[in-house]
Amino acid sequence: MGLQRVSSVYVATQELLREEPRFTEFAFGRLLEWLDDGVDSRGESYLEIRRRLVAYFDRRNRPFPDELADETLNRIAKTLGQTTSIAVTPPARYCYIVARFVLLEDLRRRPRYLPVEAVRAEPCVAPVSSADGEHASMREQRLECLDRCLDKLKPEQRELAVEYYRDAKRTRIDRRRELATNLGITMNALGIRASRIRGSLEVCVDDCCKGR
Amino acid sequence: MSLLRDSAVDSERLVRYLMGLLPQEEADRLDEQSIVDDDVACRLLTVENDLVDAYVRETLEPDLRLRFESHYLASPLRRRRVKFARRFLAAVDLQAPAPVMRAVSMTQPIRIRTSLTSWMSRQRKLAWPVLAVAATFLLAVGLLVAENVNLRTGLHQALHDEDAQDRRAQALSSQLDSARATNAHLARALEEARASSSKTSQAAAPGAAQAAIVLLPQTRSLGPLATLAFSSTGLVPLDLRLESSDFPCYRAVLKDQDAGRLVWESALLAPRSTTAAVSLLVPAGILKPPHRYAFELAGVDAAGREEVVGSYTFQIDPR
Repeated sequence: MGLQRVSSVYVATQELLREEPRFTEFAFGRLLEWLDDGVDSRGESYLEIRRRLVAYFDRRNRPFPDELADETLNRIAKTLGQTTSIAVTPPARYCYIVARFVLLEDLRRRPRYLPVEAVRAEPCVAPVSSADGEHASMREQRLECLDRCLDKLKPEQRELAVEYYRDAKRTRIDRRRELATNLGITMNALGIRASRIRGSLEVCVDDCCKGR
Repeated sequence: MSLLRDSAVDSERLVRYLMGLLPQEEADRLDEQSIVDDDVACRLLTVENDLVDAYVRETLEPDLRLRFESHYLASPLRRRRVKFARRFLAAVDLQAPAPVMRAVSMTQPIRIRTSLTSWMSRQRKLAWPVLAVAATFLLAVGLLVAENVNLRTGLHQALHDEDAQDRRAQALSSQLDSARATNAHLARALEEARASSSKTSQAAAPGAAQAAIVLLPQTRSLGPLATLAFSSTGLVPLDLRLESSDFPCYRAVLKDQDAGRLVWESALLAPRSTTAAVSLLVPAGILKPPHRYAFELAGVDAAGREEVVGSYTFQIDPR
């Protein structure tokens, strides 16, 4: 069939995508526009929803969460290409509906657990059995990347990250409360800011490592 | 509207969610919210970062740490986050006062130190009055040199710590896999042995005693606590009786009720085909008399979701 009805919503399934797995630049543009939901986020909405999808699949112990997140978004792009609009709102809710299908299909395809050895190689992470020299060189590379990425942060971002993530337990909580008061924002808003800085650093280090 | 509010209780719930400890229905709801609700998605990310940091800084409670290592670290993606956190916190702590800096694991010094020192010096340049006298500047340089010496010592120690932590995580992972494999193998062997024993006993000795100790699920009515006696070495075969066999797989965790901690976790268990029960082999060494223990058995559905289906309490015979 290719399309499956879920409580008045049609979702592209694996069969449909198998025929034409890659979507065009135009379709990708439509996907970005649809995810933005009327506000131009310059791709931020796409990156954020992809991050959430990867985390969702990972929490469900799927061995290749990135692939499943991409498959989810591919299907949505395909659906957007075939219909004038998607009735489900907000877009994130529809993403979740499609993600559930992708998860179920993957569960049928692959076993839940893979032995550690079978997990694909992680970029910039040395295997246990590697020679010391190689291990050291990879670590050196990761540190170099972290170094570069830290340098790219604005001074106020670095300061916030340091103040937010230093210490532990009670001291950390008190420090954060003080920081939020000084900045005139809530603890939640502060947490979001700090998480974004940390997230951007993590992505930056990953990209830097992959590019080497 | 988000169901979550900024409170310790909600953070605790999110931690339980991340550790796979929430009931299925609640976990499903959070699955959806983690994608659809911006507030929950952000709070979850914040809580996860703090959880990982607490693991890296070794401030997690022992139970939680055990669960973190068996559940959270099972994913390569999440192991990568922990690795990143180690390096990130090391960089962050380079800016913190010395006592905190020495308290955490840090990574290799040279590169981080280069950029952070330059960062520190840039910040200081900006912060110091333009007309600072040369003597003060020299004093600052002197202090920086002294600080660098301290950093070098601390960082070398931290590098050593990180290697040790990496090795520990990998060893735990291997042990876990090996234990799961052994458990599965032994369970199969036991099942075969049972099948053959059952055939033999049917033919030759009807009514012969079963090899495994059978535990019944706890009910609301008060009754005497089951007391188990067995050899103090090797593996103890146990059968956990099910009220109904609704799941394709099960998983059991064993809690020491006296010590208040989790002491063992099974691999995925298939229910027995003949009777509604799952079979386990538990290392005798972890069962200490006269402690009281409880198995918590969770059904695992095809989607990998877990739901607690029963509790089995017992104590070890002090004799």
